[in-house]
Amino acid sequence: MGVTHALAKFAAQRVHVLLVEAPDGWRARVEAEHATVALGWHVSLSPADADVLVVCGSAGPELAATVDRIWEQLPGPRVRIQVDRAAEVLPGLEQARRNLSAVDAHADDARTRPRVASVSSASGAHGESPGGASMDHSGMGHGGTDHSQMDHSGMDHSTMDHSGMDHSTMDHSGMDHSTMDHSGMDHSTMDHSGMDHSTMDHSGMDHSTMDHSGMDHSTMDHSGMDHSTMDHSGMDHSTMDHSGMDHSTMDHSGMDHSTMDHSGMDHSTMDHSGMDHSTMDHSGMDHSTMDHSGMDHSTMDHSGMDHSGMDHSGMDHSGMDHSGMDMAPGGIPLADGATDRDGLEMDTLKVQLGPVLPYWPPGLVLHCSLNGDVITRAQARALDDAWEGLSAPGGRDAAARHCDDAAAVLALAGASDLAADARRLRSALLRGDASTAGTALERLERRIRRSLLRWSLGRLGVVDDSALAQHLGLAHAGGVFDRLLGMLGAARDAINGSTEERRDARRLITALPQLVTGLDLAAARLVVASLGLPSLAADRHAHD
Amino acid sequence: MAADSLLWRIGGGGMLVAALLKITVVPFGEWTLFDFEAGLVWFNAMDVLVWAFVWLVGWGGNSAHALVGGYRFLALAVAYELPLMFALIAPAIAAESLNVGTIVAAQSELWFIVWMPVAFVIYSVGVVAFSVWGPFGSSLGSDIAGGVAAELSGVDRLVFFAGRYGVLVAGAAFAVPLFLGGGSGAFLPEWSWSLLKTVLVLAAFVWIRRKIPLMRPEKFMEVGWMLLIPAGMLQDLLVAMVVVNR
Amino acid sequence: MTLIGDVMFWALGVIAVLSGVAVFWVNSMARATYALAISFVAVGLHLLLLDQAYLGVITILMMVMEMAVMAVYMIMFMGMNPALMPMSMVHDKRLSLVIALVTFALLAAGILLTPWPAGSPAPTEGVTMALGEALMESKMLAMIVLSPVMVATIIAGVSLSLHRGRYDRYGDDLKRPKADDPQPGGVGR
Repeated sequence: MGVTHALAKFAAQRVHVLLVEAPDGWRARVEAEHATVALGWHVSLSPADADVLVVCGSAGPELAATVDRIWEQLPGPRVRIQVDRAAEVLPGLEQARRNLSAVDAHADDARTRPRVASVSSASGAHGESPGGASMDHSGMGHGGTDHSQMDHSGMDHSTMDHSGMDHSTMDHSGMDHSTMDHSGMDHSTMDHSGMDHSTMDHSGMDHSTMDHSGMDHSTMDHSGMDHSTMDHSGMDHSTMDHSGMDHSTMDHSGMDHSTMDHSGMDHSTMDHSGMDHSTMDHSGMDHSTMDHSGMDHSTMDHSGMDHSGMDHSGMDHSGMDHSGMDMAPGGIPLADGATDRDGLEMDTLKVQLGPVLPYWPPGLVLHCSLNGDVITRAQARALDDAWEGLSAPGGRDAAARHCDDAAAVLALAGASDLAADARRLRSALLRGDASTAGTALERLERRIRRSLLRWSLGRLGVVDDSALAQHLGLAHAGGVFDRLLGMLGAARDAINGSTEERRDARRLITALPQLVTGLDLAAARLVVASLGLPSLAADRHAHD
Repeated sequence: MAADSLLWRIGGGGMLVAALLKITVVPFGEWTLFDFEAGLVWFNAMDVLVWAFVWLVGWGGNSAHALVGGYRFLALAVAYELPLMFALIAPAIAAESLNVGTIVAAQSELWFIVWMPVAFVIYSVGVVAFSVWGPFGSSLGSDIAGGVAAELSGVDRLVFFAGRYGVLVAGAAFAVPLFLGGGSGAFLPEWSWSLLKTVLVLAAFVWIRRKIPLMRPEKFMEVGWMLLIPAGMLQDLLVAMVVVNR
Repeated sequence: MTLIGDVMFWALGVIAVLSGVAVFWVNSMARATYALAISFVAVGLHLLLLDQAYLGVITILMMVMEMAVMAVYMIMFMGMNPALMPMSMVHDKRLSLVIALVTFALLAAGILLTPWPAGSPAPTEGVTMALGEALMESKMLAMIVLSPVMVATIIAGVSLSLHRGRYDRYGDDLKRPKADDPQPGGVGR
C-alpha cells in the first residue's frame, strides 16, 4: 500500500479541475481559476479530464441536476467541492488535494458508483434526447424484408415503456420466424398494460424451431385473457421475468393476429438483455395497417444487440401507423432530416450547449439543432430563471468582469497568451491595482489590434443593423472583433468611473438564436462569448 | 448507438505508433533505423495515418463534441495536406531522390532552407497542423469541450497526448534532414547536431503555440488552397528549373 | 524469397483478405471503411515486399487518405441514424454475390492465363521507373492527354454541382470586392 499511497500523493500534485459556475458564482469561479493556475494545476475542458469538480456559487435545482450528471462522468479518483465565496476557494482546493490521495475512499467509490453513467448526460453539453418526439410511421411498407436468421442475443430491453401502443390492423402475415433463438432473454419488469391486439393478422407466420431456452415466465399473469378478435387493452405485464425461458420448437404457424390493437401498451422498464434472435424467420408475416400510435419507447436499452444476418424478406408492413410513438433506442431519437445552409439535406442532431462548458455564460442553455456542425435552429434559455434579480455591478468589479468576458473570447479564438494577459488584468483589477491595470489594459488592446485576430474574428457575427445593435445594448454595430475591443473600452470606462448604459440580459438571450443560426459551432461560441453576458449577472457575494 | 471502443482505442494508440514509425526514417548522424529508398513518401504516408487516427478518436467516443472535433480535423487536413506534399517535393527534386540520406548528402554545400524558404514554411505549417498543435488545435478546441479528447481519460488520454507530442517531435526531427542539412555542423559529432537542430525547431513550434490564434477550418481552407498550394508549386518550379540548369 | 519474406507475404495476404471480408461482416459504417483501409495497407505492404518501395508506400498513403474521407461520405449519405447505429453492410445479396464471383473468376483466369516470363531476372536499378515505362511508355500520349481531361472533368463537375456560384458570391456583375459567404473564408476570394 505504501507505493500506492506515494503514487496517489504524487499524482495529486497536478490536479485537473473542472469549474462549474452558477450565475452568482462569478467571483468564486474567477478565484478558483486564479488559484488553479497559481498552484500549477490545470483547468480541464471536459469531465473526462477532471479530477476535481468545483461548483462555484449556489446552483438552482436544474443546474444542480446537471452537476450531478457531470459528477457521474468524472473518472475516479474524483473529488467534488462546493465554494460559494472567494475566500473558500483556497481551503477548498487544499482539501480536495488531500481527499484525492485518500486511496481507500476512492476504491470504495469505484466499487459503489453506477457502472454506466446516465445516457442523456454528457457534461450537460453533449447530446440530450428530447422526449415526446412524435414519430409518424404511417403508411410504412416493409414488404420484402427478410428477418430470417436474426440474432437478437444480448438484447437489453429493460425499462422499456410501450404504453399506449396501438398495433391494430397490422399485417404480419407471411412472416417467417422459424429457427429464431430467444434464449437468455430477460423480460423482467415489463409493463404491457393497456395493449390492444385485437384484429391483428399474424396469419401464415412460421415460428418453428424457435429457441427461447432459459426463459423464465414465472409470476406472469395471463388470467382472464380473451384472444377472440383479440383485445389486449388494459394488460399489465409489468415486472415480468422471462429470463431462462425455453420455447424451443414452438409452432405458431397459421396464427391470425389481424386487426389487433396494441394501443395504450406500456413496455417501460423491459429488460431484453442477453436475447438471441439469430436465425429467426419472420418471412410471410403481414403487419400492414398496424397502429403503433402513442407508443413510448423512451429509456429502452438495446445495447449489445446483434441483428446481423437477419432476413426479413416477405414482410409486409404497409399501412402501419406509428404516429405518436416516442422511439428513442438508447435514449437517442432517430434523426430528422433538414436542409442546411448549402441546400444539402442532412440529418439533424439535437445538441444542448451549456450550462457546463468552458467559457460559456453561467446558467445559460442553448438547445441547438445541428446539421453537421452548423446550427440550423436554436433556442436559448436561462436555467432556474437564474438571471432574475441579478444586476450589473459597478466600478472595479465591472471592469474586472469586462476583462473576464474578453478573456473568454480570446481563449475561444485560440489566442492563449492574450487570454492569459486578460486574466492577469482581471486579477489586478480585483486586487484594486488600478494604476498598473490602466497601462496593462492599453498594452492588451494594442496587442489585440496588432494580432491576427482582426483577420480571424473581423467578419464574424456581424450585426449590421444599428437598430438591432441598439436594441441589444451593444455599443455599436460590428463583428466579434469590434465587440472584443468594445469590452476593453467598457473596462476602461469602468476604471475611470463612468457608468455604462444598462443592458438587458434577457433581451440578449432572446436574440441569441437569431444571431447564431446558420453559424458553425466554433463561430457560434465566439458570437455568444462576444455578447459579454457574464458581466451582466452580478454576484450576490460581490461585496465580501 | 454506442461508443465504438475498438476504433476509439485504435485511434488513441495509433498516434504514438505513427510518430514512432515517422522517426524510423530520420537519420541521426550515420545511423538510420530504417534507411528506406522512399523515406520521404514513408513520412508522408505516416502523417496521413494521423487523419485516420484523430477522426477515429473523435468517432469512437460517441460524443457530439468529439465527433465535431474529428470532422474539423479532416476539414483542416484537406487544406494542409496538399501544400505539405508540395513542400516535401521540393527537397526531393533538388536531391533527385526520395531517400532521406541522399537528401542530406545533397545539402553538403548549401542547406535547402536557404533557397527553399517557402517550402520550409509550408512544411512547418503542415507539421503543426498534423500535430493538432496550437493554431491548428481547433479539433481539440475549448469551444467544444476539448473536442476529440473530450471523452478521453486516464491511460487513454495519456497515450493519445503522448502520440500527439510524438508526432510533433517527429515532424521537427524530419525538418532537419529535409531542410537544415541533417547532421552537418562544426566541432560536434553529426548525431548531436541533428539532435540540437531538432530541439531548436521543436522550440520554435512550442513557442508559436500560444502566439497565433486558431485557424478555424473555414478560414484556413482558403489560405491553404489559394495561397499555400500556389506558393508551394512556384517553389517546386523554381527548384526544378535550378536542377535542370545545373 | 527468404523464409521471413514468405511468412510476411502469406501473413499480409491473409490480413488483406480477412479485413476485406470484415468490410461486409461488421455492422458499422466506420468499421467497414477502416477494415477496407487495413486491407489496402496490407496490399501496400505486399508491394513493398516486391521491392516496389514507392508504389507500396504511395498505396498506403492514398488509400488511408481516401478511406478517411470516404468514411465521412459514407456516414453522410447513408442518412438517418442507420449510419450511426449498428446495421448490416450487405444488401441485394444474390446479385452482389454473382457479380463478386464472376469478377473473381475473371481476374483469377487472367492471372492463370497470362504468359508470365519464366525465371526470376534480377531487378533493375530503378524498379519504379521500369514498371512505369513497362505500363505506360507505349501509351504516353494518351496518359498525357488523359490527366488534364480528368482535372477538367473534376472542376466542371464541382462547379456544375455548386449550390452557390460566383454570381451569388460576387453579385451579378461580379464586382463585389469581398465574397458574400455565410462564413467568410481566410482570403476573401
